[in-house]
Amino acid sequence: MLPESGEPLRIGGRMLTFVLVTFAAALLAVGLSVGLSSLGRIAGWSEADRNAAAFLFMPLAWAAIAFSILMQGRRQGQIKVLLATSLPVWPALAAGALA
Amino acid sequence: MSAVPEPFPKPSTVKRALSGHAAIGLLAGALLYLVCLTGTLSVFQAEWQRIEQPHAPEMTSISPQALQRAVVAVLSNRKDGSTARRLSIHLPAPDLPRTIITSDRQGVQVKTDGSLAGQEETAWSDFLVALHHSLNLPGKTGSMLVGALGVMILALSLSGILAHPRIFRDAFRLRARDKGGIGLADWHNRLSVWSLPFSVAIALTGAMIGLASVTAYALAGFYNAGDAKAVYAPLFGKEDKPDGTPGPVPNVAAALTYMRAHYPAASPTFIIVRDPGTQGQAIQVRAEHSRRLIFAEYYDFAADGTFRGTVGLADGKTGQQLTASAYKLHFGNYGGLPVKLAYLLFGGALTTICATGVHIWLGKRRRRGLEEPRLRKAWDAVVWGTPLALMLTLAVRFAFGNHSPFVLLFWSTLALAILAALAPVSPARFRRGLQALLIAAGGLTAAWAF
Repeated sequence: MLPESGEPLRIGGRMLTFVLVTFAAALLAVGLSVGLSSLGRIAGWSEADRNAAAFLFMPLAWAAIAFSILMQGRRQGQIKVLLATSLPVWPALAAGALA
Repeated sequence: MSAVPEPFPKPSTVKRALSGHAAIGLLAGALLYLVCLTGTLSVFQAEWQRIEQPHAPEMTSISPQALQRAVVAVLSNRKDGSTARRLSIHLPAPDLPRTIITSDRQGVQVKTDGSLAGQEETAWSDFLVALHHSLNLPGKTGSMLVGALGVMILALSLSGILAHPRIFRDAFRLRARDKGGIGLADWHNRLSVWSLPFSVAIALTGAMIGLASVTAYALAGFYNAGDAKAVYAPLFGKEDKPDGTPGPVPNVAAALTYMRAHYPAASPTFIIVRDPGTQGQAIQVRAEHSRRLIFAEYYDFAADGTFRGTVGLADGKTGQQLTASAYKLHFGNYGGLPVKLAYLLFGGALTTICATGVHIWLGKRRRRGLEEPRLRKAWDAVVWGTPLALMLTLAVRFAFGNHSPFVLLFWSTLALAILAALAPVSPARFRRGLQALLIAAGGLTAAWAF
């Protein structure tokens, strides 16, 4: 958003928020959707069901992560959201790789 | 004495949601408006095509033999002697009762007897759909960006609901005549509530379609050694390996005859011939199933018209049926004209929501004493300049024909309108000027069209 009159521009901070909401959240959403596909593989879903679930889940996850980041008042909170949402990615990816 | 219960959601949560809502709206507002407007107009793609080329031959159906004659004519008509990579045959449908054979990129109209009637001239309709689908950007970049805009609509819907705790309770409260900003905010909020299921469905299916390639590349990298086609194969079927050795003319008539004899309830809409005239060629008939949301079931045939089987979009895995249903839900091409009109209504509402959102934000800043006439004019340039630029391209289509540079004309007109916001004219006058130009362009288009 644009600053109020006399308020500092904080271009760097705003750009960083933009990067977190767009690229970081999108990357994480892709990771989560691949993780979901991996879980589906373990659960015995067909490849068609796994891939369709990943396609559907990715935009939903991105929207939820972007919204959660913007709901944080401080940068620390935004990083915490990214870290917390990335937690399910790693074991799911590892399990999928091993399956 | 009992403690006063804390309001839900907390005022601080509401404030943050409103701030996040405004941030996304401002960041993506102009592109969202453009995509929503062009998407609403694209629902009528078939009708636009008929308006663009009103005298093309029309028919309710075409015989397999006539279609075969047309395919032979198209394949033998290639001037450079090369073979097409793909033939796409549009069969007569209620909203577009025409037979059109597209060889690679160029479409040809077909008469009822199978003779060729001349080239398809629907470049403006194609431009409109491409503008919505990819913002005229090359490769997959555009569709990914449009998919990302779908995600932003989902995030806006979420933050909008949380930012307005009374939004459902006030669903029928409309102070339309209030001039102090409440009227505009009421329109924005009421339209948002009324069109919420539509907006979420359109945004989710659009994002799913636009971003599928991103997810597919990731899945391919993880499971298919980077082969993205292998990710789509379980959903839409696998393509045979190409074999460029010259082969016979594909027997499209046999495939269509088989469909009519064995699947009379299915309505073929498209026939795709891959690598026609080669040994590796294959025929695929795409047929709609009545009362189903899937865009089609794929019926695969060998080059001689021998039936091979279906892919399973109608009765295969849940994932196949779900993916195949996303397209019609997004494009609104099911249920005929009533559904298209409903999409026009709700799509118009979504476009209005995008336009009013930024107006509300600008109005709030103005009431806080931040006069930003150039910003207000720039937003008006987007809101009124976009339909103006579209109308101009349509006028040019009718005046100068199919080969006009629509992309250049559209984007330069829009850029010029935004640049004009720097001119020393009052915002009210600037807006009236754009509206007058839009009406004039509309009149000009109608005059040339009819």
